[in-house]
Amino acid sequence: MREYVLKKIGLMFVVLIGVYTIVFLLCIAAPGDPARLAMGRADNPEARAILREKWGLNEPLYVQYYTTLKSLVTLDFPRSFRYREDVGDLVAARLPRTIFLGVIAIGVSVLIAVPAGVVSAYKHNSIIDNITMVASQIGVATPNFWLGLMLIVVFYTKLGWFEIGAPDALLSLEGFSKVTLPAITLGTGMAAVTARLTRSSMLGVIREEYIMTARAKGLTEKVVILKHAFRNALLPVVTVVGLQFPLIVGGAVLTEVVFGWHGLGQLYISSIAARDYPVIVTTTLLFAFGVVLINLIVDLLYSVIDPRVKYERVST
Amino acid sequence: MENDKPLRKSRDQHELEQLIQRRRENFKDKVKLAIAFASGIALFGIVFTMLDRTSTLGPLDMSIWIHRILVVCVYIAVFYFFLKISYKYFDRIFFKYKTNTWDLMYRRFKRNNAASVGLLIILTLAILAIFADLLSPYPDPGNNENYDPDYTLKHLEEAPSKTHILGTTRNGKDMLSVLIHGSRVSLALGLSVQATASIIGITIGSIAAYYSGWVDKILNVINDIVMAFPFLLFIIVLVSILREVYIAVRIPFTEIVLIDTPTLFSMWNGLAMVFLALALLGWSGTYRVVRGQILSVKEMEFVEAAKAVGASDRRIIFHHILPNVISPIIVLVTLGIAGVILTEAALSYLGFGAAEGAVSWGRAIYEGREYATTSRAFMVFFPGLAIVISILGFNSFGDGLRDALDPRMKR
Repeated sequence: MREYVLKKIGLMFVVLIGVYTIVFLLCIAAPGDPARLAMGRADNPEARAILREKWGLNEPLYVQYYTTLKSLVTLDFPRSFRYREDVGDLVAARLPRTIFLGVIAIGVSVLIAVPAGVVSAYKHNSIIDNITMVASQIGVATPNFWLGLMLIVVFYTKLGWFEIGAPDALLSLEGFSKVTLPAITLGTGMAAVTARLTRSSMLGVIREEYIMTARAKGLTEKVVILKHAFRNALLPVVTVVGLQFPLIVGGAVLTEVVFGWHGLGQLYISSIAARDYPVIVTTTLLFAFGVVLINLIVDLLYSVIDPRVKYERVST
Repeated sequence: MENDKPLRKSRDQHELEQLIQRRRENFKDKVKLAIAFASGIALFGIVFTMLDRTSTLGPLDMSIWIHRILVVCVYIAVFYFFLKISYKYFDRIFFKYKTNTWDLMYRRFKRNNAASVGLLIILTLAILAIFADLLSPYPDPGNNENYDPDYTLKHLEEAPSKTHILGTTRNGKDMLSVLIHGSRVSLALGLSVQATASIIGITIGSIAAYYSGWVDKILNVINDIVMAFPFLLFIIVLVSILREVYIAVRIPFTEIVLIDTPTLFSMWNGLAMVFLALALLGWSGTYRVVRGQILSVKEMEFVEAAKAVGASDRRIIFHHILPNVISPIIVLVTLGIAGVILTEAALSYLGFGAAEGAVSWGRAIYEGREYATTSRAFMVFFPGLAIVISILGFNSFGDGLRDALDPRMKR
C-alpha cells in the first residue's frame, strides 16, 4: 500500500513537470510581446526593453525555464505582467470563489443524482425511472454556458429571484444568492452523468446473488439496498466523478465567464489575451495539480469503499 | 395415406416457401444496401460541401490545390469506407443466408426506441446539411455575395415573425438560415475531428498495448499529461497560439509553401484551427479504450495461434486484434461527435472558435450573448436549442449502438 502511494505520487510529479513544460513551451511559442501589450498607447522601444529586462524575458530559454520552475516550487511567485501584483496574491484572492462554486456544484449534483439513480434502479422501468433517464439525457446534451444564459434570462431578468455577479463575502446571504445559478449551471451536467452511472451500476449489482441471499436472510429492503447493493455500486460512480474533474474545470471556466464570477477561470481567460505568462503558467499548473490530486484521492478511496482492493500487485 | 396428403406439405412446397422467405429477406437487404449507399453519399456531401468552400481564398493560391487534393482524399476515404460496408450486404445477398453479428445487432438496435429517435435526428441533420441551400428560406448567410445592405440593415435583431420565422441575428441574417447552414459546420467538424482523433488514438493505443513494457509506460505518462491538462483550457491556449503564430510547411529546397497557419485560419473561418486542436487532443478516450480492449484480447488463443504460425506484428494488430475492438470505437466516435459539437460551441462562445462571418451555432450564441438580458433572448435560445437537440440525437444513437453492439454493457 505505502509503496503504491509513493509510486503514484512520484508519477504525479512527472505528470506535473510534463504539464509545466508544455505550458512553458506554448507560452514561448506564442507570438505577441507581453511588454507591448502592457504598454498600451504609451508604447516606445526603450521602455519596452526595460520591461522585458525586468520580467526576465531576455534571458536564455533554459534560464527562464529554471527560474519559473523554481519560483513555482518554492511558492515564491513572480509578479503578474498585467496586474503588477504577485501571482500568489492574485490566485489566493480568486481561489476561494472557484472552490466555493465547485464544492457547492458537486454537492448539489451528488445530492440530486445519487438518490435519483438509486431510486430509478430500484424501480426499474417505472415512470420515475423513465423521467430520470430522459432528464439526464437532456442534462448531458445541454451546453453549460447556454444553460447559464437561459437561467439568467428566467431567474434574473424575468423573475428576479437570484442575483448574479461576484460576491464580496462568500458565506453570506449575498454569496449564496449569487452562487445558486452558477452552481445549478455547473452541477446539471455532472448530475446527469452521475445519475445514469449510479443507476446502471446499481442495476448490475441488484441482480447479483448475494443480494438474493441478503433478502433470503430476511433483511429489510432498506438494509439490502443501502448497505449491500449501494456500497458495492459506488465504486464506478466514484471513479467517474473523479475522472470528470478536468471537465468540471473546463465547465467552471465557462460558467465563471457567463456569470461574471471573478474566479480562477475568468482570470485565466483574460490572461491569455494579455499574454500574462506568470498567471497562465501558475493557474494551469494549479488546475493540473487539482486534477492529479483528485485522481490520487479517487485511487485511494477504492480501498475504503471496496476492501477487496489491496494494491498488492501494481498494474500501471 | 391418401387422406393425409393435403394436410402435409410436400417437399417442393416447403422449398418454395423457403425460397419466398429468402426473396423477402433479399429485398430487405437490398433496401439496407440502398440506405447504406444513400447515407454514404450524404456523408460525402457534407464533407465535400464543407471542404469546397473556397470563397475566402484568393485566386492563384497554392492552397486551392491543397483544398482540391484534400477533397479528393476525403472522397476516396469515404467512398472506400462505404464500399466496405456495402460489401457485407453484397455478400449476404448473393452468397449466404445466415444470421451473423451484424444482423443480430440490427435487430437489437431496431427494438430500441430512443436510439431510433436519435437516428432520425441525425438523418434530419444530415439532410438539412446537404440540402441547406434548397431548404433554408434565405440564401447562404455565410456567402458575402448574398449580402444585401438595403434589406439587411432594415432587419437587424428582429423578433420572430412571418418573414423571419426564428427572427434575425444582430447582423440581420435570418436565424433559421443561419441554423440550417450551421448544421454543415457542426456535422463536418464532428466527423472530421472524430475520424482524425480516432485514427491517432487507435494507432497509439494499439502500439501501447501490443508492445507493453517501456513503450506502454511512456505513452501512458503522455496520456496522463494530456488528461491532467483541463481539456478546454489546453484547446484555448493552443487555438490562441496557432491563430497568431506563422508556421509554414514548405517543399524542401523550394519556395513553394504547401500550407501555412494564416491560410489554415482563413479556411472555414477559423474552424480549421478548432479542428486541428481538437484532433490533436481528442485521442485520449479512444487511446484508453483501445489499449484496455487490446490488453484483454491479446491474451486469447487465436492471437497465440497467429504468432505460432509466424504472422508479423503488423498483421496481428490489423487482422486479428483490431477487428475485435472495433465496436467500442464506433460507439466512442458517435458519442465523440456530440462532444465536438459541444466544444465548438463553447470555444466559439469564448471567442476562440469560429471567427467573424462564420455561420455556426456556437458563433450564433456568441453574437447573441449580449442580448441575453434583454427582450431579444431568443437570439441565444434558438442556436442553443439546435445544439441540445443534435447532441441528444447523437448521444441516444450512440447509446443504442452500444447496447446493440455489446449486450453485456446494457444499462
